[in-house]
Amino acid sequence: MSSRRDFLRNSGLVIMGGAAGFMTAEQFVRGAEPSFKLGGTGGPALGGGTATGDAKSSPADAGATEEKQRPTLVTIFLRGGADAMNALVPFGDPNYYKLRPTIALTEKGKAGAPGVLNPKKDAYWGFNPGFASIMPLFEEGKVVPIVNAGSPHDTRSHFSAQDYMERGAPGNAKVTSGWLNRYLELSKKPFDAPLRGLSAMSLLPRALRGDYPVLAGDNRTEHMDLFADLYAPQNMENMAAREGAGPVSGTRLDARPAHNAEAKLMTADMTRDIITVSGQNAVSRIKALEKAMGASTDASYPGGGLGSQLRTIAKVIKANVGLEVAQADYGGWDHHRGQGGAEQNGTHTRMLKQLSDCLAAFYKDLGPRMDKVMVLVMSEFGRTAHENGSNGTDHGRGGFMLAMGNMLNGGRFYGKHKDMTDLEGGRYQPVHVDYRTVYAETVTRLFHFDPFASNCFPGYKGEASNFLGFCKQMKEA
Amino acid sequence: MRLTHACKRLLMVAVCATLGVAVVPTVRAADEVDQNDPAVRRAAKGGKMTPEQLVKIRIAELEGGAITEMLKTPDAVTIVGPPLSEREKTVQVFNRLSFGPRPGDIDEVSKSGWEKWVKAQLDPEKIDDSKLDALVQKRYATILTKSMEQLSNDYTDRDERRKKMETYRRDLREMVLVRSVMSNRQFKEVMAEFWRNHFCVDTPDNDETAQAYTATDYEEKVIRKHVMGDFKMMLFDSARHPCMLEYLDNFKSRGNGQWNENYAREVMELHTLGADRFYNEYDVLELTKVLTGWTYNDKFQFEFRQNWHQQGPKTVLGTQIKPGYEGGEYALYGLATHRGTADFIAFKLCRYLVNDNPPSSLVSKVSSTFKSSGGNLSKTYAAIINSPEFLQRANYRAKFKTPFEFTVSALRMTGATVDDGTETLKILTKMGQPVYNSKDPTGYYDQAEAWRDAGVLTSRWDYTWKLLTGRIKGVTVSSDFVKSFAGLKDQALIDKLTETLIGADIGSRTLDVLRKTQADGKLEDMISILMGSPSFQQQ
Repeated sequence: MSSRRDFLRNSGLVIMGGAAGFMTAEQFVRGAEPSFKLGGTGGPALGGGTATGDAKSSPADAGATEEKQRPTLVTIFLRGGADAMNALVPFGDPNYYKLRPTIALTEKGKAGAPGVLNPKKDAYWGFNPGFASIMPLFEEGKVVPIVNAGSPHDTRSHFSAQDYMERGAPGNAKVTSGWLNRYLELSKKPFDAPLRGLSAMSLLPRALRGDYPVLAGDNRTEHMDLFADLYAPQNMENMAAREGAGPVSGTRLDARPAHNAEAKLMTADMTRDIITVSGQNAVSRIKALEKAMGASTDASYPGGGLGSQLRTIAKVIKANVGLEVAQADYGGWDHHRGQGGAEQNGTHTRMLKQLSDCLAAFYKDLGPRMDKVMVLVMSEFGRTAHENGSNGTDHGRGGFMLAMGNMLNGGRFYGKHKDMTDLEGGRYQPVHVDYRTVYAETVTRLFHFDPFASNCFPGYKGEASNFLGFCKQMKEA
Repeated sequence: MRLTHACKRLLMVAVCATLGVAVVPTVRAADEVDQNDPAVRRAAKGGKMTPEQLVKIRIAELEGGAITEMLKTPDAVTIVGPPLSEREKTVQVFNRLSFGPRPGDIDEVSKSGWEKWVKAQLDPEKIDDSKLDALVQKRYATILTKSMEQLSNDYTDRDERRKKMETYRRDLREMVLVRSVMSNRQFKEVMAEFWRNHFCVDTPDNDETAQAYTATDYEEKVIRKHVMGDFKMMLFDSARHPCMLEYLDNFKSRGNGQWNENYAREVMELHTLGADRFYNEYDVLELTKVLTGWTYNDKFQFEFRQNWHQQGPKTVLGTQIKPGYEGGEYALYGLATHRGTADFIAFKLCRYLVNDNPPSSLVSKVSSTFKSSGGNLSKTYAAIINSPEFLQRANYRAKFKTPFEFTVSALRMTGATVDDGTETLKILTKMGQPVYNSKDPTGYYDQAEAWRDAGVLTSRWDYTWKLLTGRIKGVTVSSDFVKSFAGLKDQALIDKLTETLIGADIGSRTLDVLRKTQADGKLEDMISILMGSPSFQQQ
C-alpha cells in the first residue's frame, strides 16, 4: 500500500510522460497536492498556504496574545560573494601576502592604516578593522567566526550559488523551497502564530520562499477590510466547484465549456486561486505585524537598508508574536574591482564596518533577549585567493560565516583550515564546512528540531556528530 | 479489468482534475462520452465527487492500464482543454503580446481578427507611433541626442555633475515606462522588456559609475535596435558597449593575470548557454583571456588594446581561439550559434510568452527555429505565437503579472497619461522591480514564484486606489475611461466593468464586493476593486 504522496508522485510521472512535459515531477507534486486539501480536509491550501478553508479557524490573532519569547534565528545574507580573506584575515600566513600583494591587511597596519584586530592574540587569524564594534562580543564568547565554509557544489554563478545556499540544497535544482521556509513548514502546528517567518525587505528572499506563507515587508494599505473581503477563501474557484456551485452568471464572457468538471479546473482558475491564497495569507500577517510594529524602540541603528531591516526584526521579536525566522539582506559584495584593503575608504572594509555596527546595534537593542536570538551571517561564496588586476577579487569557493548570540560557544575560530597553500585548483580557499552542517546545528540547538528525521535538507548526508559545536543547546522553549 | 474507451477518457479527465492540472481531453474526445452513464454525470458535476472517490477511480484506472493505452492513441496528445473562443484568443494575445489592452482594444480587435493585429505587431516599424516618438524626442531630448561623451563632460562643478547624472538615470527610467504605456508598437515594447532583463545592465544610484551616461545609448543601440532583429548582433553589440563593459568589469580586464572574469562568466551563464551548462571553470578563464583588452576609450567608443591582450592561443568549449581582437569575435559567434544557446533562449522566451513551465515540445520547436533562422528573433517570436500551445487553454491567463507588467497594464487600462513618472517609478521600487536598477545581472524574473509573496499584493491594491483617486502625482486617468461606464446600472454596469477590465470570470466573492460597493454608488471604487482583485493580477 503506497502513501498518498507516493501515489501523487507516481501519477505525476505518468502524466508528465504523456502530456508534453508541462511540469517536472516535483512541481507536479507541489502543485497537485493542495487540490486534495481544498476539497477533502479543508486544511492548508494552494501553492504555499496554510490559510484554512474555514475562515473561523484562521489563527489570525493567535500569535498576538503570545507572551513568552520564542527562540529566533535571524539570517543576514551578504549578496555578491563576500570576500572571506579580507574579513577573517590569515595574517599569520606569509603565503597570504604573496596572494594579495596590494590589498592584504597586515598585523600592525602599514602606511597609517589600522592593523588587523586580534583581541584573543591568535597567532594566525585576525579580524578586519571594520569589525571593531563587535570585538567586545567576540571576547565575551558571543560571536563565532567560521572559516572555509561554503557549498559542496562548485558553481561560481551568483544566481545558482545563492539559490542553492538559500534552498539549503546545493546542486539539487529539484528542491525549490528555501531552507528557512522548509523548517517552518516541517515544524508547523495547526494553530501557528501568523508571524513565524518574516522578511524585512519588500520582497521575499529565496530562503523564505516555499509552501509556508511568510510575509515580506511592510505592506500596510488603505481599505484593508475590502482587500480582506476580496481575498477571502470564498473567492476561490476550486472551492466553489467543490461545493457544487454553478458558474457565476453574467461574469463570464463566453459560456463555460459544456462540462463543469472541465471548466472548473482550468489553469486560469487555478492561477487565480493561488493569487487569492497569497492575499489571504497576507491579511492575517499584516495585521499581526502592525500590532508588533507598535512596540517602541529607542535604539539607534546605522543608516541604510540593513539597519532598518534589523530594527524592524527587533521590534517584532520584542512584541513576542512568535517570530522564529527572519532574513535581512545586504547587497553589493561583488568586489571585482577596488575592493581595497584596510584603508579607511576601502569598499570592503567600509561595508564590513556597516555590518558590524548594525550587528552591535541589534545586540544592544535586544539586550537580554539575545539569550534566545541568534544571528547568522552568510554569503554565497568566497573569492579568489589571488587579487585580480583591478585591486579586486573574482568569484571563489570557500567563504565565511559569522554567528552572534548568547547561546554560542564563541571567542574562537571555527572551521577546518590548513594554511593558505591549501587552495582548490590553486585559486580558491576550499570548502571544509558544508553550510548545511551549520544550518542543521542551528535548527537543532535553537529550536529542538530534528533536521535529519524531517529530511529538512534533502540529499544531505550529514549527522549530528558532524556539528561544529559552536552553539549550545537551548532549553526547551 | 477492462474499461470502455469512452470511460477511459472520462477517467483521464477526472484524474487530471483531481490532481489539479489543466490537462483535459479535446472536445472531440469529450463528445464521445456517453452522457447517460451515471459515472459521467457524476464526474461532469465535478464538485460532487470527493477526492477519495476520485482516488478510487484513479486506482481502478491504473489497474486497467487506461492511461498507457490512451497515450498510445494518436489524438490523445492534444489533451489541452476546450479550445479558446475567438474573444478569449484576443484576450490572450493582448495579455501576452502587449502590456494589456487599452479601453476598447479587445472589442475592436475581436472584430478585425487577432491574427491581423499580431501580424502588424511583428512588423512594428510600419505601425504609426509618431505621436509617442515626438513626445519622447522632446521630453528626453538631452539623453537621446547628446553623445555619451557629451553627457559625461557637460558640467562645471561636482554638484552639477551629480545632479545631472541623477536626471539622466531618472529620464531613462521614465522613458522606458512612458514607451511601455503609450506605444502602439506594444509587442516591440514587451520584447524590449525581455531583452532588458536578459542583457541586464543597471544604473546604480550613485555617482561612481558612468552607466548614467551610457545606459540610454545601450537601450537605444543594443536593446531596441535589435529587438526584432538578430540575436548575434545584439550579443555582439552588448559585448562592445561601454555600458556592459563597465557593468560587468571587462573594461579593466588585462593579460598576464590582471584579468577580470566577471563578463566572461556571465556572457556564458546569462546571455548564451545558461548556468552550468556546456562550460566549466576552465572555459570561463580561457574566455576571460580571449576578451582581455576589450575596453572603451575616453570618447566612450569601443577599443581593443593589443598591449592589454593576453598572448597565445586559448581554448574555449574545446575550440582553439587565436590571439587578437578577432579571437573575441570568433568566440562570441561560437557562443551565439551554440545549440545550448538556442535551447536556453527558446526556453526563456517560451517561459515569458507562454507559461512559467513551458511545454518542452514547444521549447524544442522554438529552439529549432532559432537555430535554423540563424538567431532571427522575429522568426523565433513568430514560432511561439503561431504555435498551437500559445492559444491553448492550459496557458490561458496562466501567468502572474510582474510588478512592472501590473503597473503598466493598469495605466494602459485606464487610458492614463504619464506627465511625470517619478511617483510610479518609486512604487515600482517598493514592489521590488525598479526600472534599469536590477541588483543582479540575472535581471528580473518573470515567473510567479518570484513575485507571489504574501503581502506584495497589497502594494498593487494600494496603487490602483491611488491611481483612480488621482493621487499618483503626474499621472491622470482618462476621463473618457470613467465616463464610458456612466449611465449603466445594476448588472449591466458590473458586466461592462468585468468585460472591459478582466475579460473573464471574476469569482463570486469579487462579484459580491462589487455589488456592495455599487450600492454606495462610487464608480472609481468599483474600478479600483476590480484592478486590485486577483483576476487583474493574471495575464
